Amino acid sequence: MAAVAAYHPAWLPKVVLAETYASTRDVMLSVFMRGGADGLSLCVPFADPDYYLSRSTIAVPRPDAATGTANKGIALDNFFAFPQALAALVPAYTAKDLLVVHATGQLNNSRSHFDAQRYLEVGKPNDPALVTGWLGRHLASSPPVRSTAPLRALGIASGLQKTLVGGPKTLPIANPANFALGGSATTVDARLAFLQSDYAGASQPIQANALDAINTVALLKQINISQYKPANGAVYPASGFGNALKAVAALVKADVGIEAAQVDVGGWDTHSAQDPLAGSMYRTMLDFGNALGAFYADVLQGASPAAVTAVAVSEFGRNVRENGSKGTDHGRGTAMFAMGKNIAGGRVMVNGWPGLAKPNLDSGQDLKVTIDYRDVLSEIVQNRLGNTNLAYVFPGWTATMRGATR
Amino acid sequence: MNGQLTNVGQPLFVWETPDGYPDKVEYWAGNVMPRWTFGSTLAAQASGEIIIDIALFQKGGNADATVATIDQRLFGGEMDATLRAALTAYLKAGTYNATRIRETLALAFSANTFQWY
Repeated sequence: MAAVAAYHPAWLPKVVLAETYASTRDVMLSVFMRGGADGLSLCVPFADPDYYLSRSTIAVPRPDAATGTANKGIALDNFFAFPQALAALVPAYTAKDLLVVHATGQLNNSRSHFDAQRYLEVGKPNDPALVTGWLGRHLASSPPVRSTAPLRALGIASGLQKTLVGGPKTLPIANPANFALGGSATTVDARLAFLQSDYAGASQPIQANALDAINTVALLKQINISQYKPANGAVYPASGFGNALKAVAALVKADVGIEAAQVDVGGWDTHSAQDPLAGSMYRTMLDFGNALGAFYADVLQGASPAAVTAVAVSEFGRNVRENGSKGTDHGRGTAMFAMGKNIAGGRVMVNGWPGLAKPNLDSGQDLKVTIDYRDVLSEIVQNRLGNTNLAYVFPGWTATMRGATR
Repeated sequence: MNGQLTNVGQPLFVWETPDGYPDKVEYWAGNVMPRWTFGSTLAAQASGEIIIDIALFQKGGNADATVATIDQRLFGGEMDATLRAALTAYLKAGTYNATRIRETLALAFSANTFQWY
Protein backbone atom coordinates (compact mmCIF):
# COMPACT_ATOMS: atom_id res chain seq x y z
CA MET A 1 0.00 0.00 0.00
CA ALA A 2 1.53 3.26 -1.12
CA ALA A 3 0.47 5.09 2.03
CA VAL A 4 2.49 2.72 4.18
CA ALA A 5 5.66 3.55 2.26
CA ALA A 6 5.01 7.26 2.52
CA TYR A 7 5.81 7.51 6.17
CA HIS A 8 8.86 5.33 6.12
CA PRO A 9 10.33 7.45 3.37
CA ALA A 10 13.25 6.07 1.47
CA TRP A 11 15.15 9.32 1.85
CA LEU A 12 15.36 8.99 5.63
CA PRO A 13 19.06 8.71 6.26
CA LYS A 14 20.48 6.21 8.64
CA VAL A 15 20.69 8.50 11.59
CA VAL A 16 23.91 8.39 13.55
CA LEU A 17 24.36 10.83 16.35
CA ALA A 18 27.07 12.75 14.62
CA GLU A 19 30.03 14.27 16.36
CA THR A 20 29.97 17.13 13.91
CA TYR A 21 27.04 19.21 12.80
CA ALA A 22 27.36 21.00 9.51
CA SER A 23 24.95 23.68 8.53
CA THR A 24 25.18 27.29 7.53
CA ARG A 25 22.42 28.36 9.90
CA ASP A 26 22.22 27.97 13.65
CA VAL A 27 19.45 26.00 15.27
CA MET A 28 17.44 28.34 17.48
CA LEU A 29 16.73 27.24 21.03
CA SER A 30 14.19 29.72 22.32
CA VAL A 31 13.41 29.57 26.02
CA PHE A 32 10.58 31.46 27.68
CA MET A 33 10.88 32.02 31.39
CA ARG A 34 7.19 32.25 32.22
CA GLY A 35 6.01 34.44 35.06
CA GLY A 36 8.17 37.55 35.01
CA ALA A 37 11.72 36.62 36.00
CA ASP A 38 13.51 38.85 38.51
CA GLY A 39 16.52 40.10 36.55
CA LEU A 40 18.03 41.63 39.69
CA SER A 41 18.42 38.15 41.18
CA LEU A 42 19.53 36.51 37.92
CA CYS A 43 22.26 39.08 37.39
CA VAL A 44 22.91 40.93 40.62
CA PRO A 45 23.99 44.60 40.40
CA PHE A 46 26.00 44.28 43.60
CA ALA A 47 27.87 47.53 43.00
CA ASP A 48 24.64 49.51 42.94
CA PRO A 49 24.07 50.58 46.56
CA ASP A 50 20.33 50.90 46.09
CA TYR A 51 20.13 47.16 45.45
CA TYR A 52 20.86 46.36 49.08
CA LEU A 53 18.81 49.33 50.34
CA SER A 54 15.78 48.02 48.42
CA ARG A 55 16.02 44.35 49.39
CA SER A 56 16.63 43.92 53.08
CA THR A 57 15.90 40.18 53.13
CA ILE A 58 16.15 38.87 49.59
CA ALA A 59 19.36 40.39 48.28
CA VAL A 60 22.23 38.22 47.06
CA PRO A 61 25.37 39.07 49.06
CA ARG A 62 28.27 40.77 47.28
CA PRO A 63 30.97 38.54 45.81
CA ASP A 64 33.45 40.07 48.22
CA ALA A 65 31.26 39.64 51.27
CA ALA A 66 33.03 38.27 54.30
CA THR A 67 30.02 36.94 56.14
CA GLY A 68 27.47 34.56 54.64
CA THR A 69 30.11 33.49 52.19
CA ALA A 70 28.32 30.35 51.04
CA ASN A 71 25.63 32.44 49.36
CA LYS A 72 27.67 35.26 47.97
CA GLY A 73 27.41 36.21 44.35
CA ILE A 74 29.87 35.07 41.67
CA ALA A 75 31.40 38.18 40.14
CA LEU A 76 30.93 38.57 36.41
CA ASP A 77 32.69 41.92 36.36
CA ASN A 78 33.10 44.70 38.88
CA PHE A 79 29.38 45.56 38.89
CA PHE A 80 27.32 42.41 38.29
CA ALA A 81 27.33 38.91 39.73
CA PHE A 82 25.56 35.62 39.25
CA PRO A 83 23.86 34.10 42.25
CA GLN A 84 25.30 30.75 43.36
CA ALA A 85 22.23 29.11 41.82
CA LEU A 86 23.58 29.97 38.36
CA ALA A 87 27.10 28.65 38.98
CA ALA A 88 26.62 26.14 36.16
CA LEU A 89 26.51 29.04 33.68
CA VAL A 90 29.94 30.37 34.63
CA PRO A 91 31.89 28.15 32.18
CA ALA A 92 29.86 29.44 29.26
CA TYR A 93 30.27 33.01 30.50
CA THR A 94 34.01 32.62 31.01
CA ALA A 95 34.36 31.15 27.52
CA LYS A 96 32.61 34.28 26.23
CA ASP A 97 29.74 32.23 24.84
CA LEU A 98 27.08 33.49 27.23
CA LEU A 99 25.80 37.04 27.04
CA VAL A 100 23.63 38.62 29.70
CA VAL A 101 21.59 41.61 28.56
CA HIS A 102 20.30 43.72 31.46
CA ALA A 103 17.67 46.41 31.89
CA THR A 104 16.03 44.87 28.86
CA GLY A 105 12.46 43.87 28.13
CA GLN A 106 9.41 45.27 26.44
CA LEU A 107 8.69 48.92 25.90
CA ASN A 108 5.00 48.22 26.45
CA ASN A 109 4.38 48.43 30.17
CA SER A 110 1.65 45.87 30.66
CA ARG A 111 1.91 44.04 33.94
CA SER A 112 -0.51 41.36 32.84
CA HIS A 113 1.15 37.96 32.40
CA PHE A 114 -0.93 36.88 29.49
CA ASP A 115 -0.86 40.19 27.65
CA ALA A 116 2.87 40.68 28.22
CA GLN A 117 3.67 37.09 27.26
CA ARG A 118 1.54 37.38 24.17
CA TYR A 119 3.14 40.67 23.09
CA LEU A 120 6.61 39.20 23.47
CA GLU A 121 5.76 35.96 21.69
CA VAL A 122 4.05 37.59 18.73
CA GLY A 123 6.78 40.21 18.67
CA LYS A 124 4.55 43.24 18.84
CA PRO A 125 2.39 44.84 21.52
CA ASN A 126 -1.27 45.72 21.25
CA ASP A 127 -2.10 44.15 17.89
CA PRO A 128 -4.99 41.72 18.30
CA ALA A 129 -4.82 40.79 14.61
CA LEU A 130 -1.28 39.42 14.93
CA VAL A 131 -1.57 35.77 15.89
CA THR A 132 1.69 34.39 14.53
CA GLY A 133 4.87 34.29 16.60
CA TRP A 134 8.21 35.87 15.78
CA LEU A 135 9.92 32.52 15.45
CA GLY A 136 7.04 31.12 13.40
CA ARG A 137 7.35 34.08 11.04
CA HIS A 138 11.10 33.59 10.82
CA LEU A 139 10.52 29.98 9.74
CA ALA A 140 7.82 31.04 7.31
CA SER A 141 10.14 33.56 5.68
CA SER A 142 13.20 31.39 5.29
CA PRO A 143 13.77 28.27 3.18
CA PRO A 144 14.13 24.98 5.04
CA VAL A 145 17.65 23.97 5.96
CA ARG A 146 16.70 20.52 4.67
CA SER A 147 14.01 20.53 2.01
CA THR A 148 12.95 16.97 2.87
CA ALA A 149 12.72 17.48 6.63
CA PRO A 150 9.32 16.37 7.94
CA LEU A 151 9.72 18.71 10.88
CA ARG A 152 11.40 22.11 10.99
CA ALA A 153 10.50 23.18 14.48
CA LEU A 154 8.88 21.87 17.62
CA GLY A 155 7.45 23.28 20.78
CA ILE A 156 8.14 21.06 23.72
CA ALA A 157 4.61 21.43 25.03
CA SER A 158 1.18 19.95 24.48
CA GLY A 159 -0.09 22.91 22.57
CA LEU A 160 1.86 25.06 20.18
CA GLN A 161 3.30 28.10 21.97
CA LYS A 162 2.48 31.44 20.37
CA THR A 163 6.14 32.02 19.58
CA LEU A 164 6.01 29.26 16.95
CA VAL A 165 2.55 29.85 15.49
CA GLY A 166 2.80 30.36 11.76
CA GLY A 167 5.87 28.21 11.31
CA PRO A 168 5.54 25.61 8.56
CA LYS A 169 6.23 22.00 9.54
CA THR A 170 6.05 22.97 13.20
CA LEU A 171 4.37 20.81 15.84
CA PRO A 172 3.92 20.71 19.57
CA ILE A 173 5.60 17.56 20.84
CA ALA A 174 5.36 17.33 24.59
CA ASN A 175 7.67 14.35 24.86
CA PRO A 176 9.99 13.86 21.89
CA ALA A 177 11.42 10.73 23.48
CA ASN A 178 8.04 9.04 23.19
CA PHE A 179 6.18 10.36 20.17
CA ALA A 180 4.16 7.50 18.80
CA LEU A 181 0.68 6.18 18.26
CA GLY A 182 -0.40 4.06 21.19
CA GLY A 183 -1.91 0.62 20.94
CA SER A 184 -0.63 -2.65 19.57
CA ALA A 185 2.74 -2.63 17.84
CA THR A 186 1.56 -5.20 15.28
CA THR A 187 -1.16 -2.95 13.93
CA VAL A 188 0.42 0.46 14.43
CA ASP A 189 1.58 0.82 10.82
CA ALA A 190 -1.83 -0.06 9.45
CA ARG A 191 -3.53 2.31 11.87
CA LEU A 192 -1.18 5.15 10.94
CA ALA A 193 -1.89 4.46 7.30
CA PHE A 194 -5.61 4.68 8.03
CA LEU A 195 -5.17 8.01 9.79
CA GLN A 196 -2.94 9.42 7.10
CA SER A 197 -5.57 8.61 4.52
CA ASP A 198 -8.41 9.89 6.67
CA TYR A 199 -6.74 13.20 7.49
CA ALA A 200 -5.89 13.84 3.86
CA GLY A 201 -9.44 15.13 3.76
CA ALA A 202 -9.15 17.40 6.76
CA SER A 203 -9.08 21.15 6.58
CA GLN A 204 -5.85 23.06 7.05
CA PRO A 205 -3.84 23.35 9.18
CA ILE A 206 -4.92 20.03 10.63
CA GLN A 207 -4.29 18.19 7.38
CA ALA A 208 -0.67 19.32 7.16
CA ASN A 209 -0.08 18.79 10.87
CA ALA A 210 -1.42 15.25 10.74
CA LEU A 211 0.89 14.35 7.87
CA ASP A 212 3.84 16.02 9.56
CA ALA A 213 3.08 14.19 12.79
CA ILE A 214 2.96 10.82 11.07
CA ASN A 215 6.23 11.48 9.27
CA THR A 216 7.79 12.68 12.47
CA VAL A 217 6.95 9.45 14.28
CA ALA A 218 9.35 7.58 12.02
CA LEU A 219 11.97 10.29 12.35
CA LEU A 220 11.90 10.42 16.13
CA LYS A 221 11.87 6.66 16.41
CA GLN A 222 15.09 6.53 14.46
CA ILE A 223 16.73 9.27 16.47
CA ASN A 224 15.79 7.35 19.61
CA ILE A 225 16.06 10.20 22.08
CA SER A 226 15.48 7.99 25.10
CA GLN A 227 18.86 6.35 24.41
CA TYR A 228 20.67 9.62 23.86
CA LYS A 229 23.98 10.00 25.67
CA PRO A 230 25.13 13.56 26.34
CA ALA A 231 28.73 14.38 25.48
CA ASN A 232 31.51 15.88 27.53
CA GLY A 233 30.16 14.55 30.80
CA ALA A 234 27.13 16.80 30.69
CA VAL A 235 24.41 15.88 33.17
CA TYR A 236 20.97 17.34 32.59
CA PRO A 237 18.74 17.76 35.63
CA ALA A 238 15.91 15.25 35.74
CA SER A 239 13.30 17.98 35.46
CA GLY A 240 10.89 18.98 32.73
CA PHE A 241 13.27 21.69 31.57
CA GLY A 242 16.31 19.43 31.76
CA ASN A 243 14.59 16.71 29.77
CA ALA A 244 13.43 19.19 27.18
CA LEU A 245 16.93 20.56 26.62
CA LYS A 246 18.33 17.06 26.43
CA ALA A 247 15.80 16.21 23.75
CA VAL A 248 16.72 19.36 21.82
CA ALA A 249 20.39 18.42 22.04
CA ALA A 250 19.63 15.00 20.58
CA LEU A 251 17.62 16.54 17.77
CA VAL A 252 20.38 19.05 16.99
CA LYS A 253 23.06 16.38 16.80
CA ALA A 254 20.87 14.12 14.69
CA ASP A 255 21.07 16.81 12.02
CA VAL A 256 17.70 16.04 10.44
CA GLY A 257 16.60 19.55 9.63
CA ILE A 258 15.13 20.72 12.92
CA GLU A 259 15.72 24.46 12.93
CA ALA A 260 14.07 25.69 16.09
CA ALA A 261 12.73 24.53 19.41
CA GLN A 262 10.59 26.45 21.88
CA VAL A 263 10.86 25.43 25.51
CA ASP A 264 9.07 26.99 28.47
CA VAL A 265 10.25 27.06 32.05
CA GLY A 266 8.05 28.34 34.83
CA GLY A 267 8.25 29.22 38.47
CA TRP A 268 9.44 32.80 38.03
CA ASP A 269 6.38 34.63 39.42
CA THR A 270 7.90 35.16 42.85
CA HIS A 271 5.37 37.34 44.67
CA SER A 272 6.25 35.91 48.07
CA ALA A 273 9.10 34.08 49.81
CA GLN A 274 11.29 34.59 46.78
CA ASP A 275 14.50 33.51 48.57
CA PRO A 276 17.07 33.44 45.77
CA LEU A 277 19.63 32.01 48.16
CA ALA A 278 18.00 28.80 49.37
CA GLY A 279 14.27 28.78 48.63
CA SER A 280 11.87 29.00 45.74
CA MET A 281 13.81 31.22 43.35
CA TYR A 282 17.05 29.47 44.24
CA ARG A 283 15.54 26.18 43.09
CA THR A 284 14.09 27.70 39.94
CA MET A 285 17.39 29.34 39.01
CA LEU A 286 19.34 26.19 39.87
CA ASP A 287 17.29 24.06 37.51
CA PHE A 288 17.48 26.73 34.82
CA GLY A 289 21.24 27.17 35.14
CA ASN A 290 22.04 23.48 35.45
CA ALA A 291 19.99 22.58 32.40
CA LEU A 292 21.44 25.33 30.23
CA GLY A 293 24.90 24.59 31.58
CA ALA A 294 24.49 20.94 30.65
CA PHE A 295 23.26 21.94 27.20
CA TYR A 296 26.33 24.14 26.80
CA ALA A 297 28.69 21.36 27.82
CA ASP A 298 26.89 18.77 25.71
CA VAL A 299 26.35 20.70 22.52
CA LEU A 300 28.65 23.70 22.46
CA GLN A 301 31.85 22.41 23.98
CA GLY A 302 34.40 20.01 22.62
CA ALA A 303 36.16 19.91 19.30
CA SER A 304 33.02 20.17 17.16
CA PRO A 305 30.46 22.44 18.76
CA ALA A 306 27.07 22.49 17.13
CA ALA A 307 25.71 25.54 15.40
CA VAL A 308 23.08 26.48 17.97
CA THR A 309 22.06 29.80 19.44
CA ALA A 310 20.00 29.83 22.59
CA VAL A 311 18.04 32.74 24.02
CA ALA A 312 16.06 33.01 27.22
CA VAL A 313 13.55 35.79 27.76
CA SER A 314 10.80 36.66 30.21
CA GLU A 315 7.71 38.82 29.78
CA PHE A 316 8.78 41.40 32.37
CA GLY A 317 10.97 41.78 35.42
CA ARG A 318 10.01 42.54 38.98
CA ASN A 319 9.94 45.51 41.36
CA VAL A 320 13.23 46.79 42.69
CA ARG A 321 11.95 46.93 46.27
CA GLU A 322 10.85 43.73 47.94
CA ASN A 323 7.27 43.57 49.18
CA GLY A 324 5.90 42.67 52.60
CA SER A 325 5.94 38.97 51.79
CA LYS A 326 9.66 38.76 51.06
CA GLY A 327 8.92 38.63 47.36
CA THR A 328 8.59 41.05 44.48
CA ASP A 329 5.68 42.07 42.30
CA HIS A 330 5.48 42.61 38.57
CA GLY A 331 8.03 45.03 37.22
CA ARG A 332 9.63 46.16 34.00
CA GLY A 333 13.30 45.81 33.08
CA THR A 334 14.87 42.39 33.51
CA ALA A 335 17.74 40.26 32.25
CA MET A 336 17.80 38.08 29.14
CA PHE A 337 20.39 35.53 28.06
CA ALA A 338 21.93 34.59 24.72
CA MET A 339 24.30 31.67 24.32
CA GLY A 340 26.28 30.25 21.43
CA LYS A 341 29.73 30.12 19.87
CA ASN A 342 28.87 33.21 17.82
CA ILE A 343 27.34 35.20 20.62
CA ALA A 344 29.54 38.04 21.88
CA GLY A 345 29.38 36.84 25.45
CA GLY A 346 31.50 37.02 28.56
CA ARG A 347 29.90 40.32 29.57
CA VAL A 348 26.73 41.98 30.78
CA MET A 349 25.38 44.22 28.04
CA VAL A 350 23.72 47.41 29.23
CA ASN A 351 22.69 50.59 27.46
CA GLY A 352 23.65 52.97 30.25
CA TRP A 353 22.73 51.22 33.48
CA PRO A 354 19.85 53.34 34.76
CA GLY A 355 20.56 52.58 38.40
CA LEU A 356 18.19 51.56 41.14
CA ALA A 357 17.79 54.90 42.95
CA LYS A 358 14.13 55.83 43.11
CA PRO A 359 14.31 58.89 40.83
CA ASN A 360 15.77 56.65 38.11
CA LEU A 361 13.08 54.01 38.32
CA ASP A 362 10.14 53.54 36.02
CA SER A 363 7.04 54.71 37.94
CA GLY A 364 9.29 54.99 40.96
CA GLN A 365 9.34 51.22 41.36
CA ASP A 366 10.93 49.39 38.44
CA LEU A 367 14.22 49.02 36.63
CA LYS A 368 13.83 50.90 33.37
CA VAL A 369 13.82 49.07 30.04
CA THR A 370 16.79 50.49 28.14
CA ILE A 371 17.11 47.79 25.47
CA ASP A 372 14.08 46.41 23.65
CA TYR A 373 14.40 42.63 23.53
CA ARG A 374 13.63 42.76 19.81
CA ASP A 375 16.99 44.41 19.16
CA VAL A 376 18.82 41.36 20.45
CA LEU A 377 16.49 38.88 18.78
CA SER A 378 16.60 40.75 15.46
CA GLU A 379 20.37 40.64 15.44
CA ILE A 380 20.29 36.91 16.13
CA VAL A 381 17.66 36.29 13.45
CA GLN A 382 19.74 38.21 10.94
CA ASN A 383 23.24 37.09 11.81
CA ARG A 384 22.75 33.59 13.20
CA LEU A 385 19.59 32.41 11.46
CA GLY A 386 20.46 34.01 8.13
CA ASN A 387 17.15 35.83 7.74
CA THR A 388 17.11 39.49 6.74
CA ASN A 389 13.30 39.77 6.64
CA LEU A 390 13.35 41.55 9.98
CA ALA A 391 10.41 43.80 9.14
CA TYR A 392 8.33 40.65 8.71
CA VAL A 393 9.65 38.88 11.77
CA PHE A 394 9.22 41.96 13.99
CA PRO A 395 6.64 44.15 12.29
CA GLY A 396 6.61 47.74 13.35
CA TRP A 397 10.06 47.56 14.88
CA THR A 398 13.33 48.86 13.49
CA ALA A 399 16.11 47.11 15.32
CA THR A 400 19.29 48.64 16.63
CA MET A 401 22.12 46.17 16.26
CA ARG A 402 23.99 46.18 19.55
CA GLY A 403 26.80 43.74 18.91
CA ALA A 404 25.24 40.71 20.59
CA THR A 405 26.73 38.46 17.92
CA ARG A 406 30.24 38.00 16.62
CA MET B 1 -8.57 10.55 34.25
CA ASN B 2 -6.30 13.50 34.95
CA GLY B 3 -3.44 11.39 33.65
CA GLN B 4 -5.25 11.01 30.35
CA LEU B 5 -6.07 14.71 30.28
CA THR B 6 -2.40 15.46 30.85
CA ASN B 7 -1.46 13.23 27.94
CA VAL B 8 -3.70 15.16 25.58
CA GLY B 9 -2.42 18.45 26.87
CA GLN B 10 -5.10 19.70 29.22
CA PRO B 11 -4.19 18.72 32.78
CA LEU B 12 -6.83 19.94 35.21
CA PHE B 13 -6.28 23.38 36.69
CA VAL B 14 -2.68 23.61 35.51
CA TRP B 15 -3.01 26.50 33.06
CA GLU B 16 -1.05 29.35 34.64
CA THR B 17 -2.64 32.53 33.37
CA PRO B 18 -6.29 33.46 34.05
CA ASP B 19 -7.26 33.19 30.40
CA GLY B 20 -7.50 29.41 30.60
CA TYR B 21 -6.58 26.87 27.97
CA PRO B 22 -6.67 28.48 24.52
CA ASP B 23 -9.61 27.94 22.26
CA LYS B 24 -7.62 28.76 19.15
CA VAL B 25 -7.03 26.29 16.34
CA GLU B 26 -3.36 27.22 16.02
CA TYR B 27 -2.74 26.04 19.59
CA TRP B 28 -4.40 22.65 19.23
CA ALA B 29 -4.02 21.86 15.55
CA GLY B 30 -0.66 20.18 15.97
CA ASN B 31 -1.83 18.03 18.86
CA VAL B 32 -3.05 15.13 16.72
CA MET B 33 -0.83 12.28 17.89
CA PRO B 34 -1.76 12.45 21.57
CA ARG B 35 -5.44 12.63 20.65
CA TRP B 36 -5.15 9.54 18.45
CA THR B 37 -3.38 7.72 21.22
CA PHE B 38 -6.12 8.72 23.63
CA GLY B 39 -8.67 7.25 21.23
CA SER B 40 -6.71 4.03 21.28
CA THR B 41 -6.43 4.02 25.06
CA LEU B 42 -10.10 4.78 25.55
CA ALA B 43 -11.29 2.09 23.18
CA ALA B 44 -9.12 -0.47 24.91
CA GLN B 45 -10.77 0.06 28.29
CA ALA B 46 -12.29 -3.24 29.34
CA SER B 47 -12.07 -2.92 33.11
CA GLY B 48 -11.64 -0.31 35.77
CA GLU B 49 -13.41 3.01 36.05
CA ILE B 50 -14.27 3.35 32.38
CA ILE B 51 -15.49 0.36 30.44
CA ILE B 52 -16.34 0.26 26.80
CA ASP B 53 -18.71 -2.63 26.37
CA ILE B 54 -17.55 -4.17 23.17
CA ALA B 55 -20.41 -6.69 23.09
CA LEU B 56 -22.63 -3.92 21.83
CA PHE B 57 -20.46 -3.58 18.74
CA GLN B 58 -20.25 -7.33 18.20
CA LYS B 59 -23.98 -7.74 17.70
CA GLY B 60 -24.63 -8.67 14.11
CA GLY B 61 -21.46 -10.72 14.01
CA ASN B 62 -19.77 -9.08 11.04
CA ALA B 63 -17.75 -6.02 10.07
CA ASP B 64 -20.55 -4.17 8.29
CA ALA B 65 -22.84 -4.48 11.28
CA THR B 66 -20.12 -3.28 13.64
CA VAL B 67 -19.37 -0.22 11.59
CA ALA B 68 -23.09 0.52 11.32
CA THR B 69 -23.28 0.42 15.12
CA ILE B 70 -20.32 2.79 15.39
CA ASP B 71 -22.08 5.08 12.95
CA GLN B 72 -25.23 4.98 15.03
CA ARG B 73 -23.64 5.38 18.47
CA LEU B 74 -20.84 7.85 17.67
CA PHE B 75 -21.90 9.69 14.58
CA GLY B 76 -25.67 9.79 15.01
CA GLY B 77 -25.98 8.04 11.68
CA GLU B 78 -24.06 10.80 9.89
CA MET B 79 -20.80 8.98 9.18
CA ASP B 80 -19.68 9.73 5.67
CA ALA B 81 -19.29 6.96 3.11
CA THR B 82 -15.51 7.25 2.79
CA LEU B 83 -14.98 6.77 6.48
CA ARG B 84 -17.47 3.92 6.61
CA ALA B 85 -15.63 2.15 3.80
CA ALA B 86 -12.24 2.75 5.41
CA LEU B 87 -13.35 1.49 8.81
CA THR B 88 -14.97 -1.56 7.29
CA ALA B 89 -11.85 -2.29 5.28
CA TYR B 90 -9.69 -2.02 8.37
CA LEU B 91 -11.93 -4.32 10.38
CA LYS B 92 -12.08 -6.87 7.57
CA ALA B 93 -8.28 -6.82 7.17
CA GLY B 94 -7.88 -8.60 10.48
CA THR B 95 -9.54 -11.33 12.49
CA TYR B 96 -13.04 -10.28 13.56
CA ASN B 97 -12.55 -10.27 17.31
CA ALA B 98 -12.89 -7.95 20.28
CA THR B 99 -9.35 -6.56 19.89
CA ARG B 100 -9.82 -5.68 16.24
CA ILE B 101 -13.20 -4.15 16.98
CA ARG B 102 -11.70 -2.02 19.74
CA GLU B 103 -9.03 -0.82 17.32
CA THR B 104 -11.67 0.07 14.75
CA LEU B 105 -13.53 1.98 17.42
CA ALA B 106 -10.31 3.82 18.30
CA LEU B 107 -9.84 4.78 14.67
CA ALA B 108 -13.38 6.08 14.59
CA PHE B 109 -12.65 8.20 17.68
CA SER B 110 -9.52 9.50 15.97
CA ALA B 111 -11.11 10.19 12.62
CA ASN B 112 -11.01 13.72 11.35
CA THR B 113 -14.78 13.97 10.94
CA PHE B 114 -15.35 12.83 14.51
CA GLN B 115 -12.77 15.06 16.17
CA TRP B 116 -13.29 18.23 14.20
CA TYR B 117 -17.02 18.33 13.72
